[in-house]
Amino acid sequence: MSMDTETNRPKIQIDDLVREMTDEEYAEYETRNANAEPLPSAE
Amino acid sequence: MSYPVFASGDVLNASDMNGVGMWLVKTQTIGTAVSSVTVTGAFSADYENYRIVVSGGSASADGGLTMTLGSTAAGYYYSMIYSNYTGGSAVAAVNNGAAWTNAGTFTTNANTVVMDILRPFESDQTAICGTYIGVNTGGVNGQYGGYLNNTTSYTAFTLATTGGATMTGGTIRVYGYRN
Repeated sequence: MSMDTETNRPKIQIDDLVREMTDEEYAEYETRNANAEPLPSAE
Repeated sequence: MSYPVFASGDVLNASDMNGVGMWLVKTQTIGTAVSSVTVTGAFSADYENYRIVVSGGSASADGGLTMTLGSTAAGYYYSMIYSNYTGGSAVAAVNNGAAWTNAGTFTTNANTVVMDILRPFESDQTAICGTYIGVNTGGVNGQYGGYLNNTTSYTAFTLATTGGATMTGGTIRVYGYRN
């Protein structure tokens, strides 16, 4: 019996390898997201 | 032969080759629908300073790319002055952040980074300067500088989208400035 481990998390690419992010990688990605500052239009 | 003009059949003398100021270190094609790309083996003792260029491809949305070195998630400092296509100016900054935010752009038209990175492999602070390019009508363009406040030696870097956006295609090129 096969088990489906897809989580629909964002994909990470490391050189030519593409796969879903691990728990740790996803947490790091979310941390960077939380700290990211979208640029508003210049006044 | 007079460097830098070469003719077919010329011998590549050491003196000529040693005068080449920039070498392509690594090329990485961005995959399909990825939110983060790590480039390993980018920095080494061969070069002190590097230029990173990302061009081409597209993204599922528009925004700023974050950049981190190795597995470091703190100590990033950065500021940028930017303007949109109707003029004006504004500033953005990162003060001891988890990444250099807005180190490049991802848009539905292209993904871009133009960055010089100084001494990433050396065991001292790594400095950056670069250009933020908004490749869309509502985009902004900016010039930034910053540094990473630690003395870690790095060989790899990661570029990531924000908000779960994905990139498809485009090329990351890393050049080394000859010491």
